[in-house]
Amino acid sequence: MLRFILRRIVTLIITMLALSMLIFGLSEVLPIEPALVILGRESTPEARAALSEQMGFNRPLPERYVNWLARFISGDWGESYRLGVPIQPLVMRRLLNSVILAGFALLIISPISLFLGVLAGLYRARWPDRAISAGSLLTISLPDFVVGLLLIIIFSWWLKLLPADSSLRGADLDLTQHWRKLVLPAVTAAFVLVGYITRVTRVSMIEVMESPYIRTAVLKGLPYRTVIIRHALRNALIAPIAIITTQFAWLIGGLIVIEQLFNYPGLGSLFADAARSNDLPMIATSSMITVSLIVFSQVIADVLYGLLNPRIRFS
Amino acid sequence: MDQSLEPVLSQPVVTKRSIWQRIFALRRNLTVLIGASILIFWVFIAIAAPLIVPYGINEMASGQVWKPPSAAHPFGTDNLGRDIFTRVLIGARQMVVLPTLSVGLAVIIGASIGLLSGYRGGWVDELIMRVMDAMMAFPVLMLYLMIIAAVGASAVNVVIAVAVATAPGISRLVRGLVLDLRSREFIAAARMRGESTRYILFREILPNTINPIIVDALVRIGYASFSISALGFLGLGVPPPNPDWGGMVSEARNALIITPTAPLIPALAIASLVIGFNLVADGLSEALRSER
Amino acid sequence: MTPVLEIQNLNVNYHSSRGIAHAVRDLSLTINGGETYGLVGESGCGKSTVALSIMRYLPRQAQDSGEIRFQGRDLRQAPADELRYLRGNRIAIVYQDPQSSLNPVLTIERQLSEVIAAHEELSASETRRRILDMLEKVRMPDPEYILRRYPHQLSGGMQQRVVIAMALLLQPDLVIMDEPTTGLDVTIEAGVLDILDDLRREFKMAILYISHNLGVIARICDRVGVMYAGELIEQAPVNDLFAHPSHPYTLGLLRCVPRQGLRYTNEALYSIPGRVPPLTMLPQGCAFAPRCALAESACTAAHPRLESTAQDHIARCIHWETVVEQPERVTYTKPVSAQINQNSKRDLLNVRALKVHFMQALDVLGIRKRPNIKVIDGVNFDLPAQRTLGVVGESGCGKSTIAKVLAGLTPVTSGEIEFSGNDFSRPIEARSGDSLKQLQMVFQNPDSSLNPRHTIAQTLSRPLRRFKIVSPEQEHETIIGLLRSVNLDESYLDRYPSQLSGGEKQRVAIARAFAGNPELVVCDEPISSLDVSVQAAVLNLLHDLQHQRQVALVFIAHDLNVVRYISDEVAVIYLGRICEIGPTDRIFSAPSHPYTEALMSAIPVADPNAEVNPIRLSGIVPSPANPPTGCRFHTRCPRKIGAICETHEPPAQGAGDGHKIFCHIPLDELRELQTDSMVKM
Repeated sequence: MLRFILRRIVTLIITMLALSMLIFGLSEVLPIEPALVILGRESTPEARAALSEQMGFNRPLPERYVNWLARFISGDWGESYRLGVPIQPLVMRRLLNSVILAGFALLIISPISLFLGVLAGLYRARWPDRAISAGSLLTISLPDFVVGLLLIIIFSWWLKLLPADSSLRGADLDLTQHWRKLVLPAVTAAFVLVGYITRVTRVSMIEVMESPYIRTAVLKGLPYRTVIIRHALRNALIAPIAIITTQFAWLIGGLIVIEQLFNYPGLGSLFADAARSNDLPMIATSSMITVSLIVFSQVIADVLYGLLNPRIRFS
Repeated sequence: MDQSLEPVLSQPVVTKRSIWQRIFALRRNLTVLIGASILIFWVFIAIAAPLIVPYGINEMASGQVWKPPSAAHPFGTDNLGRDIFTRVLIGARQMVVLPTLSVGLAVIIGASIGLLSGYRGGWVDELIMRVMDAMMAFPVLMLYLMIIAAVGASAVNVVIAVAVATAPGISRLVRGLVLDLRSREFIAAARMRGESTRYILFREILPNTINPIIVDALVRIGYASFSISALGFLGLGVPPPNPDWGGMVSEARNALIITPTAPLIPALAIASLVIGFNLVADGLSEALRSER
Repeated sequence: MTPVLEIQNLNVNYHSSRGIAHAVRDLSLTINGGETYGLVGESGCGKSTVALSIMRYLPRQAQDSGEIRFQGRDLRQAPADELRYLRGNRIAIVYQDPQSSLNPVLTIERQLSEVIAAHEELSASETRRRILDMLEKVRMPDPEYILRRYPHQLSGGMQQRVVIAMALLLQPDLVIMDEPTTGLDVTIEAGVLDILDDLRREFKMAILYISHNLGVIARICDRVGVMYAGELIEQAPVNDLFAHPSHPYTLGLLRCVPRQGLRYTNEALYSIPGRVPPLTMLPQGCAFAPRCALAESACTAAHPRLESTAQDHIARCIHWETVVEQPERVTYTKPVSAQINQNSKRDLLNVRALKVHFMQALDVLGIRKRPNIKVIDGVNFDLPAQRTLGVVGESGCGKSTIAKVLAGLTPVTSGEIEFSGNDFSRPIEARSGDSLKQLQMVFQNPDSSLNPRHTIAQTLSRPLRRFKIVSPEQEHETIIGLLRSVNLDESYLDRYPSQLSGGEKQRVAIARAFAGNPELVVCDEPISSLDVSVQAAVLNLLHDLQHQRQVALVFIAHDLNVVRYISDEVAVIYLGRICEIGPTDRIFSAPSHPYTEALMSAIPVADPNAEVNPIRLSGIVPSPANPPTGCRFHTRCPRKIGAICETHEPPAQGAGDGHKIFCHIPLDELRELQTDSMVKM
């Protein structure tokens, strides 16, 4: 097991390095002159040249990469070109918002999808399964902004129950008052994922229920409940739990469209704005954070999987 | 009587229906039927749109901004008074063509990488797969945005961006298939004939990967069309004047109060297309799986 | 004798997209208390379906009818809680493949104790005591340690013993065993059968023993039923069945297994022509008629009924009297004279000091590696042209690796391989084109030997083209000729492997191997995954082809009788080293290496009157990463003489005629010790 974990960590470090190079490289490819963005169009070429020299934009590529990486790791994330403010506090605030939203969504997703998936697996090919399978196929096919739009139309425009705009101003962080703003974005995010995780759980459950050891358990005369809970679920839920772990990280940084649709101030929205305005350091930082979280969660998911599966834990 | 030298009695052949027969038999499958109908409908629209539409895509009816559906404008008008019905129909063209092209390109790139990496093995394979993993660690949209931001938004660039972002997933799939096939004994038999790597990859391995690749590609076309519309929604899709469904949803979002159909109709159009692809992919995967 | 189980007119149909499969047809049988009833048949005959029906665990698309009475109650009518009461408690079942029968995430203790908990009210300590008791009865070493482990941490033999213990914990009245020892090494299987004998004596339960292995059936069953295509076609007390088989199929089955001592120099194997009909398309009348030498119009006109042929003996054949009185009309023997492989005195293959060591990671990250896993550790042998060398050993001995090394698919760590003057110790990419043609291979698994996307014609034409054997105009004819040489007709040309049976696929694989007219064909367990009746046909085929085309064979297998049948010389391998090598007849008579001796005594003989030879090996096979010092076999050898076996490698003792035994015991002593206890050959 130890070897398993260590190998994962080594892979993690290598992947992170590759990612940092990828991100840095991409931001290099952008045909933008940073000095131009910072100083604006009215600036003179001389001023831009001076600024470039001062900010170190002309140094050789490897040197800039190493500097950037070093600064990133130490938490010095520079200033936004677009907004002119330090990136770090902004990103952290947005990150917090995204984590809250992701947590909320996950709270909705997990019990529903695990339950439906297990149900569909147990009643394979009968009507509960058909209904759940059809439903999940539908939900994974609906693009997130379509779902969001529909929800807005129903709950905001028609029923007037929930706000269509989830933007938060500084003091709005008091969630007990403003929890309504979280509902629609979280439900929208949950919609798509529920379908996916339900399908994964269903497949896992079917595989387990058809396995010889379930046959052994039933033919030993164990009560059905024991067979399902002690024998089936413990095997069937391993894979879905690992996947939910990775999806949590994705929910943090990947909800670009949903955040834009609802004007929710999260990490994804920050990235989208940065991409649209060529805000290099912001692009680089926000994407690094998101991607790091995702890769890290993959490692955690793998380790979790290994812990839950005795074949790996005691190999 | 020396029976053992008699040829094995001719057994009744377990008839193997050809792939086309099985696909044809799918027409009885409800999900596939619905999915295929949707797709055929949109392809038809994409082809026939210029002949059907009552207005031009940029024809602005003055004073008719954000009007709800009426006899003159079945889907209403947008912020510039343009007929939404026309724009949706014409917009179908790029929604059908672009995803297909980009996934086609992704398959070529991804399958090649997967084939070579999987067969070669060793540190080359490790390295390539790490890079693929790194690329797949990005939420898809993030990758698109970065690429588009780098090279600018245009139809060609969108295709390239989607292709580049989709290829790693395909390469993973193909590599997995290759690894599995590589250990099969008919590959060992080929190596014992001294067959070249090229022969083994293309004549022995590749034919066994076609079916899974096709099914996977179909699902990805659905997601590609969804992603392309998401790009449009974010304002980074194919630039005007081409009517972009995603862009139309985004523009109409705030006019929701006046006319909810304005964002709703293009959104449903996108949804139907993705659903269509997924239904067909689901049904086809059943048919193709039993061939293994 | 009160019947424990009475099955009357059981029919089971499976509904699938291909039609209705008649898995079990009108089956009736009775098992009395304390008796062991064997149900014999090949794959697809329905025997496992019978077991599932009894336990009421048929899949949803199955539909059954009939009566299944257990101690008087009809199981088919029993409500769910009655079934739950009976299962594990009064009726238990043991399946093949114990690894997958045990839940990977629960400890052994948990899986055993829950059986008791489900049916009885015992305290935790009582439960534990009972479990430990049972584990001792199945001769589990160190039971306390085992209880805390997970299934994957146990060996195959231990896992099966746990499953058996689990079944017998509550002393059920009926135990169903569905191929419980299939897949285990023959020495392990013998140990498990020994345990079964003990348990039968102690608990006196009724057993329904399902198997395709006639030797095992002969050893432990009191009465036997034979199934074919879903029907019971013969039933008799075990001695009677083996002595006077009364159905052509039963007779065929008995004849097509290479009996003890049978060699190709004596006679060819009988093989049942044709193949089992698909259960969705059963022929009219007698299901066996299309393959039967005695078939006539009456056989296909009406479905034969079970007829009484002797005391307690029934058979479903209108010609049963012919079968009993003139069995040679059903089977036949082939003329032998021209079949003996010439000894050409020219060595085709020389292998010297062959070592194949695989890398093992030494540190946690796998960066530092040492070639620690000694799969093959010093093997020498020669093969003259046109002769057959059999290589036999149990799982993990390295025999498959020998095949791969000869083929060039696995690299050699050290040693020499000289083939027809060429250096074959280099991997396949380094071998010259011409020499590639001369060494071909037949693989173990027919399902993955052929490319599923190539037609048979494509598969066969490729080697012809690659090696430029014939001109393009002659290709078609040559392929047809190849097909004929493996007893397949032209209609197979356009078929895909998925349309062929396992035996047919293996024939195509053989045709492909011989297509290039090689000098040597390596066969890596070519018949292990085939049905018994098909094995004989393929074995005959291999031998015929070899003889016609004057090809040498290296035949690798774990089945001693098969190897004995087809080989001119045999090498017995244990843990990467040869322990004995020599002409076939000498290997199988005293003196023999103790391992060979144990192997031979472990094989179940298809004769109920054969004595069971009690030479058993203790312990399990050591890991090749950590082989024992000195003689590799000393940790399990029943004839170990002392410290010398642990410290010194055994010398090669020559017993004449090229026969070598690697043992410390002097040959004369060995001969004396073994002549008494050896199974009569």
